[in-house]
Amino acid sequence: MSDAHALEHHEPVTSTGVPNKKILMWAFLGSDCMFFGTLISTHLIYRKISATVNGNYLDIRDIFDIELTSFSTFILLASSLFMALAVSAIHKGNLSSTRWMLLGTIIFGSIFLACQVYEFTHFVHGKENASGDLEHQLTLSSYAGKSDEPGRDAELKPHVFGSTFFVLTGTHGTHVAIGVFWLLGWLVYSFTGRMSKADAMDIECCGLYWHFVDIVWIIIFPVVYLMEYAF
Amino acid sequence: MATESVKYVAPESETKLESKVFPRPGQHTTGIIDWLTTIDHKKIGFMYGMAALCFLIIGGIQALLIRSQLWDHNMDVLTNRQYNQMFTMHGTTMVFLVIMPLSAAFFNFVMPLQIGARDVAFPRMNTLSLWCFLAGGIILNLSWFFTGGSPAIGWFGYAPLTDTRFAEVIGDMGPDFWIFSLQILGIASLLASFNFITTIINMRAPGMTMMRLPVFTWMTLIVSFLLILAMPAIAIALAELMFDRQYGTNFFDFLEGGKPHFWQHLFWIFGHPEVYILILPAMGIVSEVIPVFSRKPLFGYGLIVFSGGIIGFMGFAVWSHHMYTTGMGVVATSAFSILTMLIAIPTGVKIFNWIGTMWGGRIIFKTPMLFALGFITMFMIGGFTGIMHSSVPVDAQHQDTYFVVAHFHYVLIGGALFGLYAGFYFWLPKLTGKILSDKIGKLVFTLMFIGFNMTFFPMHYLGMIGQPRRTHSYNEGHGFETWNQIATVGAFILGVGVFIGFVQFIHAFRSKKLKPAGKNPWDARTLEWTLSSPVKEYNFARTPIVKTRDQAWENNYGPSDKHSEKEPLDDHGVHMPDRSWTPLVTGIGLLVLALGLLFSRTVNEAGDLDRNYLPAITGGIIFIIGVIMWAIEGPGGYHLFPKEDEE
Amino acid sequence: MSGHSEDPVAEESKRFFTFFNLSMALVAITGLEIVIIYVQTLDGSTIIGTLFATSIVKFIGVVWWFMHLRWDKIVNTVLFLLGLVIALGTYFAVIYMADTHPEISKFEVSAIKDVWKASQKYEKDDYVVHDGTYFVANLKHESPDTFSESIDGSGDAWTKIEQNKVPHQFSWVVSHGDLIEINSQKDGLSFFKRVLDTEQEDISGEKVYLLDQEASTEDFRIKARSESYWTETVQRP
Repeated sequence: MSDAHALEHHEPVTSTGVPNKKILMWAFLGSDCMFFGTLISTHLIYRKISATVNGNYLDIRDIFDIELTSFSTFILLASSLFMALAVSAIHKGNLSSTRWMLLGTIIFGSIFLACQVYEFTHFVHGKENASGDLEHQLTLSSYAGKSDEPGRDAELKPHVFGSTFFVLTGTHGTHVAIGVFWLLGWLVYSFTGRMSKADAMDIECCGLYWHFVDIVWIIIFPVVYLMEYAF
Repeated sequence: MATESVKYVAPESETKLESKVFPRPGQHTTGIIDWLTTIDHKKIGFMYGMAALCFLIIGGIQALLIRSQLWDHNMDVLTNRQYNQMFTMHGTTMVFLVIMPLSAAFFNFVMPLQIGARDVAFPRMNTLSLWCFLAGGIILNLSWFFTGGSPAIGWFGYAPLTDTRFAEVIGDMGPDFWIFSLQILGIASLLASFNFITTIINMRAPGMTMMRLPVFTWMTLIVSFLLILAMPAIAIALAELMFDRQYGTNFFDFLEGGKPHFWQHLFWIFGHPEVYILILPAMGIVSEVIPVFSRKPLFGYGLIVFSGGIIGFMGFAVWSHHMYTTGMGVVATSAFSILTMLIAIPTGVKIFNWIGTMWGGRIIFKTPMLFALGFITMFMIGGFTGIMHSSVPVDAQHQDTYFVVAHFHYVLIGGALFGLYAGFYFWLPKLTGKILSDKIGKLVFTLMFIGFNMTFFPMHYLGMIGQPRRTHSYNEGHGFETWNQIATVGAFILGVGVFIGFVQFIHAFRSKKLKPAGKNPWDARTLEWTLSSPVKEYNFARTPIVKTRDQAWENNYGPSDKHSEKEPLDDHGVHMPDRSWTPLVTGIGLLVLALGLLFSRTVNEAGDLDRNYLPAITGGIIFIIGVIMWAIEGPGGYHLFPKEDEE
Repeated sequence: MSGHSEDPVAEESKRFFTFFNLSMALVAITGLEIVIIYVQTLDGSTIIGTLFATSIVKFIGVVWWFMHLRWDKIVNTVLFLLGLVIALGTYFAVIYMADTHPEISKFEVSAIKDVWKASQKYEKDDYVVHDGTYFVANLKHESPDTFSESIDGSGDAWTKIEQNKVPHQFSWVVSHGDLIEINSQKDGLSFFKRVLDTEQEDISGEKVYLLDQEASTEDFRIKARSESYWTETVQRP
């Protein structure tokens, strides 16, 4: 990935004029559309046809915390801005600015991940009601509604919403985590003294990946979270 | 200086690039390390081909066991479960470990030569694809040795049979092996496809416009697009199934809100483009062979390319024709039926164009041409039965009978395998530098043609009189015995033919007695035939400047303004990258990761489920180390200065 | 590197403001989406439609500007659009097809055989048979001791049904659908009614129809349709 500057005389000539890495990344993102398309449509289908499973009726509004999720959405949007600025900075050869922008992207990306982890653990753990019983839990395989008597936790019963929700948002979160690691690699590399304008294409590819992960969230947020309040 | 010409392997010509973080195996690597660390597309293609041929033998033995079991009514060659395992493994092996890798072998070896490139865009990623393919084959076949044995779920793994709830053997791990092996094979296909797309779009020689590309290269491009768009669907389906089996999610568990029908949708959204992935490479090969052995240019080049593209694109719109009998409703079923009928049109166009190519030409009946002609006729028969299936009421009769088995073996053996064998006989002289015996080739063709038709033609009839698929045995009194016996005999004849071909291919590499092939033994048309056989390490001594389609032919027979030229070799010569350990390390990491996840669950003495992720984490760490090494190892490399005529 | 040959530094500096403005726009649109959810006055489909539109706008914004497609060669856009178009097409089809069969949990047809009785409370549109003739009640009343078509002080209590027509009670319970039709399968008895033609959930219906002859459930077929599915019950003797 960092061999661009090794060929100190020129970048290899390509038939389209676009570097190979960029073509690769765009082809990969096209493929990733199918990947997330499958997961999102799985969620939409099951949401439509399985609100009640064996009498276990799920109203996810009892579990979702829109404030938290909105916050993390804004965080991810902000990280996207930092990423765009990082790419811009490296194209200008401004190493110091690149470093700061990369750091910003990493920090905001990590905050997003932290919010996701917090959200997941709270969904799984459930909420305590007035009598101290656990209710409104969502796990990978089950859902618990309201507790029916004081002193008894609400019963976890099988449901499919948790499966689709966690696998979809989990896959997205994994993509974000991979992106954060990738960016960390670049941040570390920027301190070795070997980074230069010649690496701009690599950072740009990293940026493409990061923005894609952002637009997947742009789709997931309304389709998975907001839609539950409307429909 | 630029024209300083030194011998190809003289050490003093080696000019290393600047210092690397750690050394990569260099120019003079030989032996096993050369094979383990190579990033040369030709060697990678060779390894794909050899491994795939070995899996062909394994899958073939599985088929012969199936045919033996069906020799007579109520035989006991295999138990019920073994029979199910046999057709599952036969199908999975043939689709994923034979036809797809054989296609990859040809894509790898031939395509860069056809576009005038020195290698693919990402050579190390190319090697990683190969190791992932081998890892997938290993994982799938490891299944024989563990609880439950091999998967017995069919190559399509329909839910809810794959649910742990319905496991015939407690703790059956077969489906888990199947899941993980397909995931890794998926990664192999994806990596290779991204590579080929980038190479074809971006690394063509000057003057090689898209409409001058050989049809085989076009098919490589279209198949690569099909792969990158279809494999994600099955990757997700398999992941959901894995979550269902290992972590208790409910994607396909109907008792808990899931829909098994949905597995079918996801599988066939992959599965239908997959069958075009299986056939288009063979069509590409046939499009190369027919013009050469008719001594005429391909008729309707633009239409053939365009039809290939349409088939690929529409291939995504017809998947539910595998699901006509599942009760999707009138609207959906009719829509898919119409689209399926439409997709026959571009296919038909291609066949007319091949016939048009032969029309008025001077046909040379050498082995590659025999296989190509076999392809056209056999694929047509398979295509006709396919169109029969596209009608919903007719399909309601065919579904789950041997009629369908006949259909897809006609297109997959009569089509894909014959096309690939045509490719072997056509291109092995280029790869090995030797001419294969045409007599033995014709024997192989005859045995395969007769054996294949004897096996599968009767199955049309057997299906129509009611023999069901995937059924371990049949009772007396249906009248199935005679034709089943003929089919079994045919299968053994086909097996002999395939095996002789296999031996002939291996022999071609090792024999000292076969005649040398020279650059262009077939007087063929495309760029790879301007190079020596076997092809030199650097492919082209000088990058060609292409002026026309079928450049090699025009160089021999065309006017001088259409002859290709060569770019001058500049001061740096031909830059050859060093070999690399990183794809192997990364591939081993993935293998260990997959095995770790496969074996992460155990039941302890108290009867509770224990999860141990240490092996998987180890695999993950090896993978990450591989990737980091990959990123920082630098290109290394050396320069070569071949003479202009040393191609 | 991005397929253009002007001075890259100046280009990138110009883009800083584009990126910043786009960022602010994305934030604003997201804020709008959240507000729309909290506003209770809009109905479900409007909200979904708006969310859909805003998502598309944000998607295009990021892809066209942040991801540089605007300034790059077209091949990048083509590669991405290939994947996007095929994904959208395939999955819209799958979602459309993911519908459940309407379930017909009850379908009954029976001839009304209630004989007129004295001192019985009757509602409007009740059917009775008296001396072999069918009558339908015009108003709610309590029947006197002897049968008569008109009741003192209340007008015509009963209207005679056409000769030879027998009232039948049809009742059905269907889980959901957008079309329900009932027709006769018996030779010589012609009957067809479309009893639902808009989409509805939890449908249960009861209606009395007059038939030319006596018939029962086995003589009829009910068909319920929902989007891509057709389900019917066929009674077998």
